[in-house]
Amino acid sequence: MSIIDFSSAQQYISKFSNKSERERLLSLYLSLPYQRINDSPTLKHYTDWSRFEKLNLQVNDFLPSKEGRKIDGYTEITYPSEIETKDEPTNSLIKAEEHKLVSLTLALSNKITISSSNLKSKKILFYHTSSEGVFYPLNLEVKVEDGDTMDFVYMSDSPKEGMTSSVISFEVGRDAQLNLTIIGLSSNLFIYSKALVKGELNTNIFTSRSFISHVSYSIELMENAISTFSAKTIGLNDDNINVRVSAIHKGKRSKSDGMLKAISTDSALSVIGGDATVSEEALDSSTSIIGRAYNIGKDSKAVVAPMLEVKTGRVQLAKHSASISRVPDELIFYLETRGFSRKEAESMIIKGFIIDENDPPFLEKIIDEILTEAKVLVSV
Amino acid sequence: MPEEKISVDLNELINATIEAKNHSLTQQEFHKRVVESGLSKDVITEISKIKKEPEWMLRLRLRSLELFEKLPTPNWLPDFLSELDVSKMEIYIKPDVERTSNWDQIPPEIRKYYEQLGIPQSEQQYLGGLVATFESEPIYSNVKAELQKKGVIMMPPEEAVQKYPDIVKEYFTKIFPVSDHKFAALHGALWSGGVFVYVPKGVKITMPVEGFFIIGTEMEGQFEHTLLIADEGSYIHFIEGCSAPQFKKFSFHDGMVELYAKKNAYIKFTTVQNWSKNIINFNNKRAWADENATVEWVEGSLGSKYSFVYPSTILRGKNATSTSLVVTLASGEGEWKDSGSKMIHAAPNTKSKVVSKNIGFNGGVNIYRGLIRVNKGAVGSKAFVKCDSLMLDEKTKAYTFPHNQVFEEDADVAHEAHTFRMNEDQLFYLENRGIDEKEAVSMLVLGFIDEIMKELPFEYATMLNKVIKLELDKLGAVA
Repeated sequence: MSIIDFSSAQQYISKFSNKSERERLLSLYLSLPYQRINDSPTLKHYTDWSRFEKLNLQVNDFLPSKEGRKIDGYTEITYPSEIETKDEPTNSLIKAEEHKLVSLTLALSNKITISSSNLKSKKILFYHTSSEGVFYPLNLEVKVEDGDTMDFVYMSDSPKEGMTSSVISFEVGRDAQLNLTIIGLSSNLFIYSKALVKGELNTNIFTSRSFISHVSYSIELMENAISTFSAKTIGLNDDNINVRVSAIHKGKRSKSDGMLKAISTDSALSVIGGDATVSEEALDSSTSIIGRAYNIGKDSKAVVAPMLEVKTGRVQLAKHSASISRVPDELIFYLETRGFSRKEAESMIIKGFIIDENDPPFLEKIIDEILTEAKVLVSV
Repeated sequence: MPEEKISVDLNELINATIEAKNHSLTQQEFHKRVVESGLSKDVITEISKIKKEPEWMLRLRLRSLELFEKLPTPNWLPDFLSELDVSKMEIYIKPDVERTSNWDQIPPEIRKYYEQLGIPQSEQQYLGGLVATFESEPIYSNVKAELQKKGVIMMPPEEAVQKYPDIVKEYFTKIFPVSDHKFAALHGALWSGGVFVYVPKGVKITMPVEGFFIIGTEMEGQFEHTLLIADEGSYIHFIEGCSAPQFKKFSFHDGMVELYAKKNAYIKFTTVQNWSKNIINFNNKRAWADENATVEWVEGSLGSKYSFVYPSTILRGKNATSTSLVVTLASGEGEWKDSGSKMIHAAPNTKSKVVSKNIGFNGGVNIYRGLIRVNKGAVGSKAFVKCDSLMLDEKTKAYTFPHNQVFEEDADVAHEAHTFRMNEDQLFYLENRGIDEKEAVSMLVLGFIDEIMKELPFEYATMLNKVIKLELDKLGAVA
């Protein structure tokens, strides 16, 4: 068994013009391992790659059966659909060699480029879906030109037996601003994304409802660049969710500030990681990552792993912190003494924990929906 | 009796190990390289024979050798180790005491420390005595009478293997299995020297016990093994001191420390490591803590060029506690201090605390690799980790790689790390008050590690203080 039915992938690439390059990418996919570990003396395979291996999905085109989600004020692009693509299996910031599933995704998809300069609307919702038993790849490049502002939402959602796999790069020009939201709700999910920032990038990442999910997002900060990020995950049932965000400071006086939050229920494993690297040239930069996780299921598991690599002594600030606990008893007790039931108290604390003040309203709605459905939240 | 030697080419061993890491060596090729380096079953058998070891110890050594060849190279091992010129390791059976006892062989760099440490004359003689004897026996005989009266056993493990085979057999490499990683296996095959301590039930040793390891020749103490068993309700504070003369080539040190605190026992294990700057220091440290037991690690890792030390505790019994306080100093170009603690919570209501303080300058690299793991069922466990890095100049690097894994709902784990440079405001404040820059810097650096200093016995705190001040003298102007 393997993630895809290989013969269907071979058949699928015959529709592309650049067949030999795609065949090379497919063989690269076969030769690369899922993960190389070099960060720690103790082995860590947080993503249960074997879950991908059991999927045996078909690779073929389909028409999205259901209407994609809508967000007020956003222009919606549903993928797959009639959107202009280029027959190029490359991505401006991401190389096929970087990950097994990146090479697979690039081999099987056309490239879509979205630039702030040729769009009327500056608020885009990109909705990526898949069909039952189908592996549907996406290769996307998003560019925000110098001085522009854009709000971009990437949302992936697939039926239970489907998978979305995406390779996405974001380029934010000088004095430009990108407010990015990545929402992964596919039951089998892979997102590999990189951002190159010269201006300002604010990112919100949220994943849930994924039987298996691996999200890797890295931000490269050039001189004077600013990036804030927030990554959240809610693990339900026996989900295996691994979200890793990296902030790589390459330019002087760059700033990053991140918040990672996880909730693990039932017997789920939620992993949130944040790596901050301050390179030799990134003098006077500052970085901060805070990771918090709540374990609220009897068999739930949570891992918080913030890493810090500071390669110059001239840093303004470099710090991280992490904590894992269940819902704090003191807080529950406080609310109980004020007349709330235990369940209500827990519900309020969890909601307050996972939803941030400056979360976009549509994200807040989704989180609320998921937690209510999982019976974590009760109405107070 | 003539001096006997068995040579092992460590350079070859390390090179082969690094190559194996990059998957360019098959197990057979690796085996060939190991044999070429001079390490073979025959050599191990020979060592065991000369040490007059029982059959089971020989088997353990041979099995370790087999594991050394089989186990994959840990991939966190930096490749630059293979570029170093590491000396051949010579296993002397009868070390020439006179030669090694010569204080003049201690490199001026380290000797200067002791001379400038301002330790009172008597203290200096005391340390001199330690050096002269080299195998930590005089320390042991100094306190021998008192300890013996209480039934405490303290001797080199070779002797313990002969005299107390049952106890040694029960615990030796059980706490830190040689199968754990490649270098633990190498240690198992080649271990020599060290200390064995057994504290009987209910015995409380009020004064600290000390083992001082000197790499006196290019072999001694390089694979030393410390096994410390504190029986129920006992108390011991063990101090480990390390020092080495400067050799022309790099030396490789691959020691092992195993601690076992049984029910209600208390072990405090303090290390002041000041190897000279051409030692690759590998130390495998692990402890078991049973019900209500406490294990405290205090570690000052000042010397050596490359250091890999991760004191770890497995909290096996309920209410067990462990703390680990580590200070590392990376003060030279390319100096690599890889440290960090691992705490495995395997029983209910266990508590752990890790405080790591790294100081770096002149291009040194400090790394913290830690792990907190709360197993399913370890309800009510609490863990706290704090790692701070202070960087005094631009060239310096500091990495923090913590992992916090919680597999139990009812557990509290918190971690924080902070990397910063010297606070210019504080420096300015002190300078304003007439304190010169150097003095101000060392005041601030010492303030930074104050939390750990407080845990050290007075003489050691003073010594550490002075050593750090001397190291800071190497520092140019603060940025």
